[in-house]
Amino acid sequence: MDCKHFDSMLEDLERDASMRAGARDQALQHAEDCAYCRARLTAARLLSLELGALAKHDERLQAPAQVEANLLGAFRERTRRRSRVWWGLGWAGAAATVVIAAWLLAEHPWRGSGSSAGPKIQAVVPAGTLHSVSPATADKGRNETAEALAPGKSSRPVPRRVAADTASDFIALSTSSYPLGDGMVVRVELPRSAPALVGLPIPSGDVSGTVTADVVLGQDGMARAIRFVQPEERQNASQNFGLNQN
Amino acid sequence: MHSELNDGDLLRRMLAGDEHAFTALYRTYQAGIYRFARQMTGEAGLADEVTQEVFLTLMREGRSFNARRGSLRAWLYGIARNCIRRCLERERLFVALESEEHEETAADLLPDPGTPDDGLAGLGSRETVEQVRRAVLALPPAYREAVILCELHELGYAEAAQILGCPVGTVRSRLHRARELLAPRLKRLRGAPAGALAKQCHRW
Repeated sequence: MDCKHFDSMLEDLERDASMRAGARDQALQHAEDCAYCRARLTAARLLSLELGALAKHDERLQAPAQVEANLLGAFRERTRRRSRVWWGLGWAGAAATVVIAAWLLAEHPWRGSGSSAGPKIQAVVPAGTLHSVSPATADKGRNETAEALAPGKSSRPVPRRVAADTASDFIALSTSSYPLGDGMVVRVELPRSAPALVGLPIPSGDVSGTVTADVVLGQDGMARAIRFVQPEERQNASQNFGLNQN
Repeated sequence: MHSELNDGDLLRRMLAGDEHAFTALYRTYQAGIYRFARQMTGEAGLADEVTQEVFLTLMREGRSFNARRGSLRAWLYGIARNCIRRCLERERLFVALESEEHEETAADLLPDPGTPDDGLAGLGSRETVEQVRRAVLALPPAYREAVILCELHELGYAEAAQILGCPVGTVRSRLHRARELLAPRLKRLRGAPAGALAKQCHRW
């Protein structure tokens, strides 16, 4: 071993790094033989002792309690802010879902009838069925519209087949400024989750399959009201979403 | 309960809003981070600031920690190192503005080798420690951080390399150079007068 090699190993000798025992012995032997390297080793050991004394002295150092208190305050505030954001996002998401679903309910029953994926129109009642419902009544709001459209209030009876079914009251879907005038009722099949969009329970809590509904369309083509129907053949089934017997 | 969890579990819980997990991580690492900052800057106020910033970063960016790239300790020390560098840069600018009136720098605090020895005989261990501290503080930052991490915090070369973002060989050469710079400075400091020493210690 020469002095240059010894110099390159000096830190490892001092730090007791994972040196091979043979290399360590060789280095120490060289220090025995070379006065210059021996002096270097002594100086390095002294330096290590001094650095060790500093490390030991600083062992007790730690951040003041105020730093922890500040950080805990920041952590709590951050957690509170994040939960508020998540709640906000949750509500915004729920509102967006309702709006989109209402739009789908209003738009798709007649425009997407050719698509197998969209709601299917099962029967169309000829236009004029509801022409006696006054525009003023139709535009007064959800409750009045529902009342005006409730079974038995319409001046003309719904078709016999429909009349034999069990149905909920009509529920207003939009407050279009366009007068209702004449309208028509179309029967559609909707996903079983559709009642939830207008505040009714999902039958049996099961969202697979479809439910039958009557949708009132205005002259402008907009869906004005909806009611959910339990066809006669299904009346003995267990599903129940607050239906009235016609 | 939290004492049985490893850093990854604690971090996940902390990110989910568990305050106790955050406290556990803080109490595990705050002392090392604080010491590193204080030894690098020589200022208790800056060390407070750095410690706070490191754990605020942990709250904000804890999700970006990747255990496959190193330990949480190395990640936190790395953040601390960046904060310290920013603080030192800011302080350097501040000192530069002041220096027209007050020319003293950290290196200037080291005694003149020719200063007569009039008070070393009675120096106790605290004085020796302060001498060493001042000598370390007078090192250029790249060498200072190598000597602090490897010698004072006793980290391995590999972990120090992760923190410093450089190869292990660079850590070794910086440490070697740092020790070469320290040895003669400490030798001179051992002969420094008590007055000069007290002056050096005033910042601590």
